[in-house]
Amino acid sequence: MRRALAVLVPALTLACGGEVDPTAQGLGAPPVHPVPGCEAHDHRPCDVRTLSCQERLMGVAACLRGASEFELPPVTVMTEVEFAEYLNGVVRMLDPPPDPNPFEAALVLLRLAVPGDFDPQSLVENDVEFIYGLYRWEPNDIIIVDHGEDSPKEVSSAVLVHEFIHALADREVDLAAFSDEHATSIDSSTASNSLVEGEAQLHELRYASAAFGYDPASVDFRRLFQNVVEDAQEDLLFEPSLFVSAYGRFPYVWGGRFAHFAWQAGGPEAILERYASPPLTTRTLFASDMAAEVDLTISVELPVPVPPAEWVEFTQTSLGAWGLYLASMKATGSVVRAHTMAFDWRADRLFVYQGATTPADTVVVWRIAFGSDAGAEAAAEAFALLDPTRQGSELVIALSNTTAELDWAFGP
Amino acid sequence: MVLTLLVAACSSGDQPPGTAPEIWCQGLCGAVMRCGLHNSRPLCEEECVEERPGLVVFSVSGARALEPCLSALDCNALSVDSVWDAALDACWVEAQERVEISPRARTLCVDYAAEWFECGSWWSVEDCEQNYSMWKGEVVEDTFACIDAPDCDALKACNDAVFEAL
Repeated sequence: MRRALAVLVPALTLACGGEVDPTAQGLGAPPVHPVPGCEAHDHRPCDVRTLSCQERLMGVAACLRGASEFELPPVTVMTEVEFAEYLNGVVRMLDPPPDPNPFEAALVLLRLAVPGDFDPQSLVENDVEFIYGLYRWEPNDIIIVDHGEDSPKEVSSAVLVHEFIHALADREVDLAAFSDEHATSIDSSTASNSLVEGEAQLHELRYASAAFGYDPASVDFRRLFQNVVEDAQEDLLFEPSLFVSAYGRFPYVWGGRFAHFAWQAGGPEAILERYASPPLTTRTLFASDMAAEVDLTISVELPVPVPPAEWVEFTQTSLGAWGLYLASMKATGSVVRAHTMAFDWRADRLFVYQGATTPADTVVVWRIAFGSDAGAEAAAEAFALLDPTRQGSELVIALSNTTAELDWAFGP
Repeated sequence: MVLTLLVAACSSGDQPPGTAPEIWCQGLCGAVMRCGLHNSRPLCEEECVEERPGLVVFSVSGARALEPCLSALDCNALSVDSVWDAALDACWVEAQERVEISPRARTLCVDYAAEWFECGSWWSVEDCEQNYSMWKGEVVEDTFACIDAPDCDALKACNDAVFEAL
């Protein structure tokens, strides 16, 4: 029936004596290009609420990952309001965060956060805005968040493929155990999660390239992933509060680029091999700008400060090259300087102390080891406002929201 | 018999004749007359075209796709600026769904939408085709030059320049 109409329309136009409109020829839908390597699978975007759509996209996801299909995990589509209710329910089940929160106070002192960033309500609002899908290891199901106009079926379908990749990885790797083993600091957690999210991001974009109607064979994915990295760097320059958003984005952006290089080198199997020895420092993700690199062999023992009795250790962790990059960008406003500094990162340790009698009092000590004395000196200049002390190739930043004496922070 | 059918089709309003501004104004004046805001339809259309030289930016098929929505505008939209803006936006969205895709828009978008994808923006080929089919041919032709933009900043600048020149 459509074909008959297409023939009739030009006749009417000519008969009316108006201009000949070439648009009236009825071109139909644009050409469809399948996902390379998965030509046997119908990749067209669909209503992710339906079982037939889910089954079809699971087939695509399994093909993209070079895996066999398996039983579909349950998929729930939530509105933003429903997702907020779900997240608030999760927050209610958890222990409330400390109030005051020394970790937040430490990041505020380092200018990486603003007061209130770690408020559960603020975190929920952030998640509702930015999360489009969620794979839950336990109970092994998927939540897709419907963002209304921002969630056309192409987007929801691509997000579901992303979450299916996680489900497939979980079957093969056991993501909960993977996280338990490797997430020992903020740096190692972010870096190892970059493999997980990067793999899913890679396949999501491979799928999206077909779902959005491009010819995937003509898409320059290397350029795409590099552009995404550069865009993220630019965007972060204007973020008033860096920590939450920046650590949230890193695994997808830098992880995507990393996974693409690994995949280019050896296909899905090359990515799977990386799960056995994942990147454990964000520096490795930075360094992977031409190929998927491996962690540097670093043996730096950073001294542990010995605080006086009025200070009690609240936590210690490593922010990694990513934290250094963010702090540098905040201090200098220069992506290039931040990048150079992050490359020169070798190790770091962040110590957060809380007043033994006044819990709102906070001290943060950040020890950073660089690849050279010159690198530490450049960092000392960049962080001049934070009054750092250089010790050879190491830098120590010690700050407090009190007027307490901090000599001890620079020892032993 | 065939001729009769053709003539009937010409007067049915399915494919309004005229230039893009004329067709756009036929739609608007449909609403103006219905709301009793003018007493002469031909004069309304003539004034509308004269007062809105910017309408030449649309393609004929874009104007045709907009016409039914303009014709059905709520009377409020004709007198309250904020309602007018929102109503026009809604008409634009609706018109893109029904506009006839132009061959040049199709040729442009297969590469142009992919360029944006490589720059991190998700814009389907179909949406691109629908958007560019709304604009006059020069817009589409000028946009072809943007495909060769050396980087993403240049792509955005080129795209902005095409529309700023309208």
